[in-house]
Formats: sequence, C-alpha cells, structure tokens
Amino acid sequence: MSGQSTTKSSRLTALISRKRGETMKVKTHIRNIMATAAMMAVVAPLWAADPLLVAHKVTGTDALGDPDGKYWDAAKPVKLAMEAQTVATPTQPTVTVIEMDVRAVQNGKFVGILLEWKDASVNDILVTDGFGDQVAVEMPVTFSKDDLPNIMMGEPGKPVSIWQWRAPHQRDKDKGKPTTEQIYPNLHYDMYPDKVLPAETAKLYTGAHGLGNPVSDGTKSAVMEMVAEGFGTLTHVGNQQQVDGKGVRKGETWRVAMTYPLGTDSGIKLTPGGETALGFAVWDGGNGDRGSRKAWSSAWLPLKLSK
Amino acid sequence: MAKVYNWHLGREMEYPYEGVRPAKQFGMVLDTNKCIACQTCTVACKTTWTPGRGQETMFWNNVESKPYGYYPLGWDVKILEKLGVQDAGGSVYQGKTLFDAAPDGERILGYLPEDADYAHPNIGEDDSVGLMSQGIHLTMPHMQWMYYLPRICNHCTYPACLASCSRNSIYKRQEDGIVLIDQTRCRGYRECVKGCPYKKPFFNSNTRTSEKCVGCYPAIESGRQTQCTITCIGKIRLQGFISAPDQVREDNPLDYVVHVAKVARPLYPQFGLEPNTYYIPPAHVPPAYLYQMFGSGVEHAIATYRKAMDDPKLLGALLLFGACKEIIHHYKVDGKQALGFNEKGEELVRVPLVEPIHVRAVHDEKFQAYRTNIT
Repeated sequence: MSGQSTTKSSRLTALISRKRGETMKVKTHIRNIMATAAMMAVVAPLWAADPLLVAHKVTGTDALGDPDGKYWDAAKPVKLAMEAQTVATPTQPTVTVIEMDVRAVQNGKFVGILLEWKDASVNDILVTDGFGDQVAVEMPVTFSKDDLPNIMMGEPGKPVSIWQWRAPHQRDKDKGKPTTEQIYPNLHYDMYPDKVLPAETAKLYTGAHGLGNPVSDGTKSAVMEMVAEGFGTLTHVGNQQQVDGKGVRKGETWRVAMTYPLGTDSGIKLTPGGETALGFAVWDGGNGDRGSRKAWSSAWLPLKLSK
Repeated sequence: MAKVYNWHLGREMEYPYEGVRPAKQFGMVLDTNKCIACQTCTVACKTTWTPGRGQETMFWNNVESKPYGYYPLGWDVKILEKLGVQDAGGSVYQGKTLFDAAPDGERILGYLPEDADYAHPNIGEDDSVGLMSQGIHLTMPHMQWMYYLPRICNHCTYPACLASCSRNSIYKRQEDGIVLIDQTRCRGYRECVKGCPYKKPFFNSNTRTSEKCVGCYPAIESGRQTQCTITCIGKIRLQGFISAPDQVREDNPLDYVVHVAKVARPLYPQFGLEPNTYYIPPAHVPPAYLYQMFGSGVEHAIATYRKAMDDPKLLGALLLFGACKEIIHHYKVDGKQALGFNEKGEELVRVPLVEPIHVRAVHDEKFQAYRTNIT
C-alpha cells in the first residue's frame, strides 16, 4: 500500500514544509541559509572511529528509558566535550557544562541512551527570567555514513531527528504540572475562565496548551521527539512520537535516559548490528541557556549497535 | 542583514530580513492629551484576551504614567540606557538603531526583564516630576508634569520580536500587517521578550510560550476596530490602516493625521522598528522629553494640534476618533460635519465639527431657582 510505503522521513519533511509555509509569509531565510552555508564549510561532518559509542546487548524486552536501570552498569561511557554554541545567532559564549558522559545499550527491541552531566542547580520552573535544564540527542533521520547531514540542526533534504528531555517536563511527570499558585505563592487572582465557563469555551483561553503544543505539558512524556532541516525548522512529530525517557538527580548530576524502539516500520530505522551517528546539546537553565543558547558537541559521534 | 527603508528615520537601515510591506498595515493613533488613564482599554483587552492561567500579570494593553510609570518596570529607560546617547540628527536619524547596536552573537540589542518587573503593572501612577510649592501657578509647558501613555503592540513594520525569534515562530500577516506568534511553533525561548524594546511579547508560565497582542485580528477581519479602541470612553483612539509615505491617501483619517497634518508621532522611532501606533504628543510637556520619546517633529505636531480648529480636515479626522465601532477607511468633511465611510464607501458615521450650544437663563422663573450650569 502506498500509505505504508511512505517513509516517515518524507512525511516528516512534508510536516516541516507545511509548518514553514504557514509561518514564513513575509520572512526570508537569507540569514539562516548563509549561516548554514558557513557551517558546512567550517564543520564538515566527520566520521572518526575513535571515540565510538557501542550499544551492547542487554537482556529483556522492555524499553530502556530508566536512568536507574541495572542495564547501564555494563555500558562503557564515552566522555564528550561540550562547546559553547557561537555559530548561529543568538549565541551562548559562556557555557557551564563542558563535558557529558554518554552510554548506550540495546536489547533487540529497544535502544537506550544515557546522558550524565554535572549541573549544581535544578532549574525546572519556567518564569520570564527562569529557564529549564535540558538535554538533546540528534541523529540523521536516514543514516548514510558518507552523506551525513549538517550536525547543526540538519539541512534541507537531510533531516535530523532530535530527542529533547526537559527538566520542567520531568517535574510535570513526577509531581504534576505546577499551578500558578505554586509558582507564585502570594498571588491573588479574581477569576479564571475555567471556573466560570463551560470547559469547551474555557479552552479558548488556554493558548498553546489548548492547541496541544508539547512544550506546554510534560505530563505525557518528559522527552519530545522532533525533526529539523536547518536552523529555525525544529518541529515536533506530534502523535508519531516513539521516544520516551526519564531524568533523575544523582547528587549534583543530571542522569537522563532516552529510549526508542528498534526495527520499526516508521521513524528512525535502528536495528541490532546497525549504526548511526549522534549529536548532542545540553542546556543549563541557571545559565540562561535556551534554544540556540546552549552547549553542543561539534562532531558526530558514531553509534554502533551490537548484534 | 538586508537594507530596508524606515521612513521614521528618513533613511535605510539594516534588518535581518528583506523589507516587504504588507498589502495593508494595521495602525492606530492615540491622543495622549485626552487620555485620563481610566484603564477601560486595559480591562477590555484583559477580559477579551488574557484572563487565563499564566496570564495573571500580562497586559497586552496597558496605560502608564510618564515619565515615572512603567510596565514592565523601567522598560524604556533600561533600553535607552543600553543604546546610549545617539545623534538624532534632525529629519534624518544619524544614530544607531537597536539592530545596528546588536552585540556580537546577537541579532538585536535587547534585555530580558526580570519576572518581578511585571508584578506592579501600574507602578508610578500619577507621579509627577516634582512637587508644586504653595501659591504657584501653572505655565506652559508645565514646570511639573506627567501624562498618560496607553500602549499596545506596535505591529511594527520591522518587528524586533520577529527578527529575534530563532525558530521562525513569529510572522507578520500580509493582509493587515498584524504581527503574531504561532502558538503551535513557539517553544518559549523568550528571545522575542528580550528583543522587543517595547516589551509587548510576554512569557506565559502556564503555556510556557510567549504571547502578545494579536491586534484583535478577528475584529479587524470583520471590519471592526480593536477592543481597546471601541471601549475607550475618552475617544482618544482611532484604529485603521496606515499607508506608507509614498502611498498616502488624504481621505484616510489615519494618513491625514500622521502623514499630512503630521500631528501624531511614533513611539521611540530611534529604535528602528517603524512602529505603527502613533501618538499625538502631550501639549503641556517640555519638548526635550518629547523629542526623546517621539523623535523630531513633536513641536510641529503640538503647534498644529493647537490650531486644529483652523484645519477642518484635521478637525474632522480628530472628531472621528471613537465615533464608531467600524474601521473608517475614508472620510470627508462636508460643511459642518465629518463623515466616515467603510472600505465599500458606505457611510458609517457623521459627527458635527462644532457641537451645538444651548444657553439657558441663569434664573429659572418656573422653579424660582438659580442655575449653576447654563450651557
């Protein structure tokens, strides 16, 4: 059937194109195109055998998204150098996270990636001047060793898949979404629409939350699955999301696990014995990091899945 | 950076995107001389658009006392201080815009307000610049002064919010020039909150996205003026469409007030955004302050405003402020009346240029009483 033969990659590309068409009525991409071109010249995709991340096989058939799982014990970490993102505006010239440990495992049904980095403060409440801790893994939607996308958010025609974990989403999942009264304990407010209007009408006053924007609510998952084809194109995959994960605190360290099914018909095609390449980014909310203001790994890290 | 023409500056300037003017541009003229800060506009906007969770201290429309009222706290003095003293240079602005002044690695010079800066939306209300000593009498311009500045999003021709957004979530509509944040694409980076010098995008802690004045676009689409305009009891506002200076239509009341009579001025034009709300400057305030806030031409604006009675077309346009709910696309002055028309040329409203005056006798013979008010 034609519907089944359509790859997720092409569907996601169409999704981005549609979104872009809706929002780019007057704007042009000049700056982004120039920045992408500059990046392709500066950071040519590298494929080095060392370091190499190997996802060894572990037992079981469950998802590998528990940062406290015993299955991580056998996985050897690769230490990544994280750099200040100073290529695409707006930049973050000073970052607080300069290294991150990455591990990977697979059990024939799922792949799991574990990320650990030091961050002394927990930032999981979002207010005007308060940002959240976050981490993201990136990989080509269609992996080709000799034709890797631009590591900086992919490029037109070569989309990347990005899985982002957010500390505020984790808080939502663990404790429920914070109410305004919890964020601002001394707040007094006369009346909310949902107190006096029928639910359907009150929903009109809920903005992005009511529209199902995944940044508004982390109670379903602490991780978002997105695709991008260059700066400014990052788009959530909606109900096609297959990634999940969890983050916990270990002393002054964030320990975040993300998991994805192997051998699926759609999405990222990962199989035992296969390989792909990973990129990483990390945000310290306490440092004002968000969006392009982040620390990132400037070279693709090869990931090999054992058989 | 692309080169775009900003008529407020009288010159070309740099902007991250190519300059494309919309087919029509949302515009508003506000007469600061008539505003009494009753906040009816603020409440009308609040109940229409921002009563929800996470919007508790969010006012897309606000009215602040100047010079010491701010919402959010210190918004204009903070960015003015960052920009530093610039050479205004008369009719052609010689100084730096906020785009020119962007630090390395940034798209624009901006700052992110603190969360607490929004906690007191009406701080500084009615504070004047000094005390009046016993027995003193007012002279013009006033030696001690304050005035009210009602503010909405300016739906700028060159929006800083749009330029700042690193993920293209903000767009300017071709049909009416209204600037909107796509709530399905925004990821709450707050670059727009940081970049907009007028601080009119706000972060919503519940939706975790930024939100801003939507120019009451559903009303605009059906030919009606914004909520803040039609509810204004002082009739200080006129909302409609403003033309670029090379396409001025004298029968468009906004064009006449802004481009022909030149009695209304943009807010902080030196920032370089070409904002599309215009202010008739307060006549009692020292020109030096007004010059900083509204750019060159404030003295001409005030002088012309004072003589509005001598220009029936200007008087007619001013009297159409708050005269009807619908957007007035055309107007004319016919004898002793000003008439407003919609886009199809259908009459919407007519107002007398001079209200009839009835004078009653001081002493009422029937009730054998003296009247204190006889007109």
